[in-house]
Amino acid sequence: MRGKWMLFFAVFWLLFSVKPVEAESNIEINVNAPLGGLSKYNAWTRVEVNLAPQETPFHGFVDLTKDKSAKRLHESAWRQQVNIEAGKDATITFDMPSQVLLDDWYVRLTENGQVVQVEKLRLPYPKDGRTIGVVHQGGSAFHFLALQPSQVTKGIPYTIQNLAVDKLPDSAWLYQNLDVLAMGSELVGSLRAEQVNAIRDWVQTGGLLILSAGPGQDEVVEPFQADMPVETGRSGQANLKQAIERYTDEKAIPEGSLAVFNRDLPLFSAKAVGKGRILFVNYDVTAEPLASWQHNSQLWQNVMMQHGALSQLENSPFRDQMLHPFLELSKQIPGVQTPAPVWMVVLWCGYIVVIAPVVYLLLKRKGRRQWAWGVIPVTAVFMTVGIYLFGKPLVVKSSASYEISEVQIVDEQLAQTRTAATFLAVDQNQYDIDGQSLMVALPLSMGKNDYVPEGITAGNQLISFRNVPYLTPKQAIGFGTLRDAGSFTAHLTVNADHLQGSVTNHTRFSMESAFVEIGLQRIPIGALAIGEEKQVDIRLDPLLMPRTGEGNKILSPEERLEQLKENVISFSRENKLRVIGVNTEPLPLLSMQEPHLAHYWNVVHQTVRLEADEKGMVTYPYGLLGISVSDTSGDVDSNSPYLWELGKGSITFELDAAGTGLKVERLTVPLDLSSFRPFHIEVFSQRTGKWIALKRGERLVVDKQLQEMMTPRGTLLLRFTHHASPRLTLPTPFFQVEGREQAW
Amino acid sequence: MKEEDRIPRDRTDEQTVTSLLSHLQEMRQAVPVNYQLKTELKKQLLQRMKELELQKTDSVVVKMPHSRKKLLRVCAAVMIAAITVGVYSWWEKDVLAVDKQGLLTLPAHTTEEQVDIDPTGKEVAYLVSPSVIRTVSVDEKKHPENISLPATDGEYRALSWANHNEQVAVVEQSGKQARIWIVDIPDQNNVSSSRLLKEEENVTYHSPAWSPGDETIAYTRIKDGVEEIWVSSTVSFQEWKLAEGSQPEWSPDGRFLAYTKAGKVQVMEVRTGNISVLGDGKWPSWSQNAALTYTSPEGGLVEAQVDEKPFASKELELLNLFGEQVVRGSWSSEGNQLLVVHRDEQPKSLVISLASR
Repeated sequence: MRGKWMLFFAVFWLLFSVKPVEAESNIEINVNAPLGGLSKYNAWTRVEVNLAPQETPFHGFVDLTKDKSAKRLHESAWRQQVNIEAGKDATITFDMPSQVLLDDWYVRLTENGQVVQVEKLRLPYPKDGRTIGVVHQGGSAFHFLALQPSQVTKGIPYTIQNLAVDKLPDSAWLYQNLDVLAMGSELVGSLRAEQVNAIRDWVQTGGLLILSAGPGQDEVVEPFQADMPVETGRSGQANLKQAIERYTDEKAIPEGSLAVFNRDLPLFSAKAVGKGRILFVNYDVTAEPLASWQHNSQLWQNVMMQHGALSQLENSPFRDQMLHPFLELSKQIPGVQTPAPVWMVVLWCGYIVVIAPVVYLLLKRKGRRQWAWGVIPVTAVFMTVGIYLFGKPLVVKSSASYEISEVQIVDEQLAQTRTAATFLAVDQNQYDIDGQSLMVALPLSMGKNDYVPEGITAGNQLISFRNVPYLTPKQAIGFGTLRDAGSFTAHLTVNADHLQGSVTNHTRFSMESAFVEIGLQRIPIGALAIGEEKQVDIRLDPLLMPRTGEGNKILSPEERLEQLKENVISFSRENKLRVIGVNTEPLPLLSMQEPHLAHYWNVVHQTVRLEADEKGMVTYPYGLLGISVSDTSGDVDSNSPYLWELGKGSITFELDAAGTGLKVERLTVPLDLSSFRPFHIEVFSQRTGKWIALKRGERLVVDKQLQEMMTPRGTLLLRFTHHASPRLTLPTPFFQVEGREQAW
Repeated sequence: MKEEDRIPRDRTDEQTVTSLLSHLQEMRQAVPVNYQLKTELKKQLLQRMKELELQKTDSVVVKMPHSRKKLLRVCAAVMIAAITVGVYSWWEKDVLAVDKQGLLTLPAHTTEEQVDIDPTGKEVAYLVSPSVIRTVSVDEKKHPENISLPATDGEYRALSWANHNEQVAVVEQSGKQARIWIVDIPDQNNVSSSRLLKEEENVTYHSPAWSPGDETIAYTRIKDGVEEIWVSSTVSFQEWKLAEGSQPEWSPDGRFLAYTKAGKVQVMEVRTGNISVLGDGKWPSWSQNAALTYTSPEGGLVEAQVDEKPFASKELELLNLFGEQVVRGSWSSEGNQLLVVHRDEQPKSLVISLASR
């Protein structure tokens, strides 16, 4: 008897516990990533898996999975089908947010349901900080771009990496892994047209390109002439002192001259291109005497600051590439009422506590107690079926999807899109999603703690979900570009404390509600139909912090929904003037290929520039310009991004006026406001190198002394001191800048 | 004596048999007794079985009265439950009882605006000279805590607890200068910190009141003897005048602002600016979105409904207060507790009690 049991356990063990034997593999797996493996935490990246079967063809799936075991083949795997003949190779790409790579991943090959080969994915960790790619023959060219970060970015490393031209990708979105691309020398001439186009598109969408050309280096300039027109054939010499004295206060400027690409241009010039910027350096950065000048790094920091490049670099906000706010909102599919957990508990307890005992007692009374063995399970089955039949139409009547999209307009022709969608199939356990209008789409599933890539993709745009459990929602995210989406036309000027002008909707979307967002303030302007113009005349609210709702208040479902929508609208918030529109028009970027009820919620927004008033002055109001903390001493703390707690110590703010790109004529800080009065306030004079104490309760207006006060970085330093121990709260000293547009 | 004489053999044998027989006789007589018992028991058993049989028959006959009994019991239980619910509802609706009599006894110079209750009704804060706020837990689960205010030469006069954030607004008068501070209440992770919200010369401030979302603070501003209600934003540098009067209080939904003017309690609908006069009194405080209480000149507590026209007002009975004259009644923002301020003459003091429905 005992022997039989032993045999049973042995068979059981062999059947279920032992890993199936992996088939013998003859496939060579190579994993690569573009840009020489350089990826940024705050961007999407591509994993290129190259497969080369040696002797036998491979017809199966390439899985990217966190679970290397052969069991649970369909769980938590992101799969692509592939057919490769023996002796040939194929590259399969997996595009994903770089942050996904922080987990351990395995490349798993399966054929006919059997694991053929498993290899751990080995790629460099994504960089957390600023990344600078350099294309130049000189090995250490642009090394000076390792800028001294300010207090805000202190601790965030700058990564400078030389890139081979053949490692530069053809897709613009992959350049999002770079904050700066610095190029020079004849290497630029070897860029393919696809690479040039990708770089130009990347600049349009916010990239910072630095081009350095010495005399006769036309190949650096020519590919980018359309965006940065620089006349060729005008090489010459520039007086070094005259050329750089506006960027440095160093006394020991090297004497002599410097060979330049165009003698009619300054040494540095910048131009905004779309949302990005090109900085043209009119000399070869490896040329002496500047290349080895000891203050070269400081010079570059000031150059970057004065031309708005540093501001763009340092203030690039973190964007969650997994699009969590979008995903969370998309889960709220209209018309789908998921049962409250309390109902589950009530039904379960109802069965355990009421139905089962009542059935038992009835049977006992009838003297048929033994029937309980059959009746109670049958009751359970009936109850389950009843709940299913009754509850199913209450949850959802038909398959449905909810897609949340953001359309970020760059110009009339180009818009960037981000989207997240949730799909809920009622009567099928498999379906496909078409993401043809996106560059990249990623299938997701809710994991233990977070969303994880799961599903089958083909060509990065077609997603398939298979073996989906009953009423289990599936998600997908993606991004892409939209051509000819049109744009908003905004003529907005700040006059005193009013924002005035007009906004016209020249996009192809009709807006159910529209807003003008300026700094921390969002002003509703009502519905905005296609072609409709709205006049704007709004008093600007000098906000010192955004409205954050009502603390720890428990939200009703409606309030929660509103908050989720607010999170999506705020996703791309930055210290700029934005026109925002919201609508529910169909915008199928990820569409389910089965008949279903599709719901949409779209945010269309565009960053616009403030225009000059009648006198040619442009005013950037409070809250629109960057402020960083450059130094602290004593007891300094902050529990809010806009409030600082100071006890027996000081805090120094750096007010970035250069970020406007204006020729600044007046800078105003409202230090007369009550909240600043308890502090001892000083302003730094760059000319004298001393701190000047300000009178209590006096507004700071710097106009004539602007040159004396401003640092070479184009900033103003303000120091607040509190001498007593109990903490006082200090609001961030928002400031206003008035100036004139300057030609590049 | 011979052996034969001493024990005559035949006779002895005969006697033994006789005695044995008699013993047997006795034994036989005894056995029937057991049989008798058995018979008796059997008889009793049968009798009992008969009774049970009879009882069973009886029970079939009296089934209806038994279920009726059951029904009666259920009815009685339902009635008791209904009466309980009814009494509770009536109690809940109309009766306000002081359940923490004399929670705090403060010096006589303390004013009624130097004390306030937190939104949940679990803590009371009051100003302690010269520059300290003390918070006291109503259920005494927490030790009293002292929060230091900015050490100035001024006098702190009034405080108001925020509705959602862990903050209080404090009014300070320093010579000719009046100030409003926002003070963070410290917790395990954060140290207290104070922000100067408003500073102005030649005025006095009183009775700060947070708006429902804590985005603004309304307060009484007195300049040259004229009482005005001003509002300062806590998230921007804006401020504006709202009405003439004093002692502002926002309704929980922010729709109304109640205040006093010339000894009368008034309610303004903020969106339209429509003003309605409720009656003589002071210190209005909202218990619900459209219901408020205020103190009558006689020291009673009056409740008014502002969503009914004409306004329905009635004097509220305050149980357990033993005829004391109420100086101020202030509801916690969740509307579950009423802070009752009254004065004691012997000894002279300001007494803080808590009432609830």
